[in-house]
Amino acid sequence: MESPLAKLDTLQAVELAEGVEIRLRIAGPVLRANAYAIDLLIRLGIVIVTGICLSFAGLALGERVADGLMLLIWFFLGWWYPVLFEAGKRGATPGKRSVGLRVVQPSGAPITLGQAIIRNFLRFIDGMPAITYGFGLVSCLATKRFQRLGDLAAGTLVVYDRLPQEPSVAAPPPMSSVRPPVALTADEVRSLGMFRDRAGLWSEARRCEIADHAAVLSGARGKAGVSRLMAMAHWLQEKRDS
Amino acid sequence: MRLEDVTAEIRPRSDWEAVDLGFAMARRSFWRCLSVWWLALLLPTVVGIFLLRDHAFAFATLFWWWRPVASRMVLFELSRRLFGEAPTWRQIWKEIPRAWSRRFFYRLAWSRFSPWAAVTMPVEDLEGLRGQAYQQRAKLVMRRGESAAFRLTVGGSLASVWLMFGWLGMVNMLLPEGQDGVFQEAWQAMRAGELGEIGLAGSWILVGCYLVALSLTDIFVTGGGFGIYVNSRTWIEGWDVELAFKRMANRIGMLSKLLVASCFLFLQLPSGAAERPPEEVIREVKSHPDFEVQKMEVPVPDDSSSEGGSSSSRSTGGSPGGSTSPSAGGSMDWFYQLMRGFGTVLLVVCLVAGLAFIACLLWTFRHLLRDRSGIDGGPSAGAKARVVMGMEVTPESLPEDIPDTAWRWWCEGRRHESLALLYRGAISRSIELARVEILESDTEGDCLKRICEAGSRAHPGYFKGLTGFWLGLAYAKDFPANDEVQGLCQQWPYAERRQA
Repeated sequence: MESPLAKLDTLQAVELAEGVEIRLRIAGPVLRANAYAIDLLIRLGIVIVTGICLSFAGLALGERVADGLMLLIWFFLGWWYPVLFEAGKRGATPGKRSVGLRVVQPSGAPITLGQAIIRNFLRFIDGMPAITYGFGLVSCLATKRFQRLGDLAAGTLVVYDRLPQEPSVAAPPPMSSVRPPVALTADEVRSLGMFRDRAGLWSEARRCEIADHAAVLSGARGKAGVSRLMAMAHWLQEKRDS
Repeated sequence: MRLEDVTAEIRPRSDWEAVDLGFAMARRSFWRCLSVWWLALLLPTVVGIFLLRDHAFAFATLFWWWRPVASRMVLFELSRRLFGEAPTWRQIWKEIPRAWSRRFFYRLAWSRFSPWAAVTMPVEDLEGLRGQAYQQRAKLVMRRGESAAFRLTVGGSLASVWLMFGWLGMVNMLLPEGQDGVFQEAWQAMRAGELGEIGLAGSWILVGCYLVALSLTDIFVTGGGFGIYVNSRTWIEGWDVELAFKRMANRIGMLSKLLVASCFLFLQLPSGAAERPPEEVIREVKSHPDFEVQKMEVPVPDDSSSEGGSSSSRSTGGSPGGSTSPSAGGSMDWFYQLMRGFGTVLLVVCLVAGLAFIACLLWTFRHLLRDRSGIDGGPSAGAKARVVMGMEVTPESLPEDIPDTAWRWWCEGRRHESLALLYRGAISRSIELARVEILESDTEGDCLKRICEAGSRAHPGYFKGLTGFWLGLAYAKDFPANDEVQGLCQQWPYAERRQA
């Protein structure tokens, strides 16, 4: 079991050589199913178009050759389409790209061809029973990092590749900038910045309520506290920008 | 609700990340949620099965209809767990009747088909709002993640049916051969499109699979909806900022207390001398979980260079050409010939496109193929080292006749340069002529090792001697004797242009 101190989250922390920690945001099953559906449609489109073309070509070649070619294309799309795209530069099939997902190693590095092959050839197992993807779904929901069986075998993760658009409705800029009375840690500096950037989303009362929690820092309560915190956030940003 | 006790990381997330957090919450207390889910519906299920034992599908409909009651209980469990409480079985038992009766008509009739139920349920159950206030609040909460909630609910409903077939397939797979008569009958009835014709045993198996699938999906859908709700409130109420401010206030408060305490300690210093041996203090400090060495193994793949170009450009044959209508006048034979010619052209185009695609693939993944072939004499297509140990080793940077030049320099007294020329010349010739793969990051020892591994064509004996002299000069300022250098120049084993 997890220790009670560790809080539940859906991140994969990666420590880089420089001692910097980055966090990958692991993607869950719903969006991945979505991406899979898009890929399925794309492949279906390709099969239909090539099918029409081949049915004409079949007049020249004989039907059996056309059928054989069709089967080859079918095989290629079924087994190799995701492999090639995921081993490629972007690490994602067109479906995954369109919803903003990417396949990576737990270290954040792009996956290799071998990993892409293992991960996608095991789709057959994940797809069981029949073609319902029941095993894959259960495995995805049962593991901490949302890995289906193919991911577990290949040691890969599916992560969000796109940063979400964060609405920040900043409050009117403060008139003054005030130096915080004590040295602040990086976390605290960031929290002041967030307070300033998102204060516009909150009601006046809620703003005061949050600011009251930092009354030790601002030395004031209520609206005075809010404006003092804003001024400090302003000072911190000025210092950062200069 | 104390925000400090929260057991999941509170941070502003994207909609789908919020759903994922909900899934993770449901996963964390999965068995508990599952038992609570079934406990909520236990009594009606037993009674329902008894009364409707001949009408399996009617029972399934009824069961589906009262499903929100079970979702409510899951929500009860998850929300308590999120804030660090663990509801006892007694509390859960007491909550079940409330889950049935609370706004029965609203939840089970009016909004039974609401696709946003997973998010609006927390507003109703956890905040206890009713009427106008509830409507407003629900609208506000749904501003974030409305589409995700919708897709989650619809996807959940689809998944429960889909999983039902999964269960059916699984049961069928595990049945011994010859025992699946019920399945065969049911399958035939389904194919004929007459659900009513499925036998009673078949329908109960179907319904049973559906109930299990429904319970499994509903737990996660409820969790996902709760995740969206928590995320929405994090955004609109700044939960994360509040938490961060509380932590800051704690730290600053501690700081000031510490200041006071240290002043106090300073005044009393003589009396308060070391009470505990330092070993004990160190042990205590080191027992903190922060000092635990945490390891995680990440397998390192062989070929880390994935410098392949953009994946591929695929073409699927020429013009679609499906619009010619065969009802044109003239003999069909003529048309047939035309189509035949067209087909041939199309086939050639297809084949060329296919070949081009394969060539493109080979080109994209050429580094993989090269790694397989190893260093067996073939011309290495990779970039050759240009600078080794800070010395330029390209043939252009070297004089045409290395040993002659080196000996001339030695005689002129430019002894260091002379030996350096010999050494980098030897490396350069090894790369150029003997095809030894030397990397820019290699040291003297690495170079020697690679040249020895390359075999006799790289003249390892000569290079070893030269390396010895070079190392002596470079690191110990130990100049070799004149005749030794002359020997080196005369024995120069690499083919020079003057001899060619």
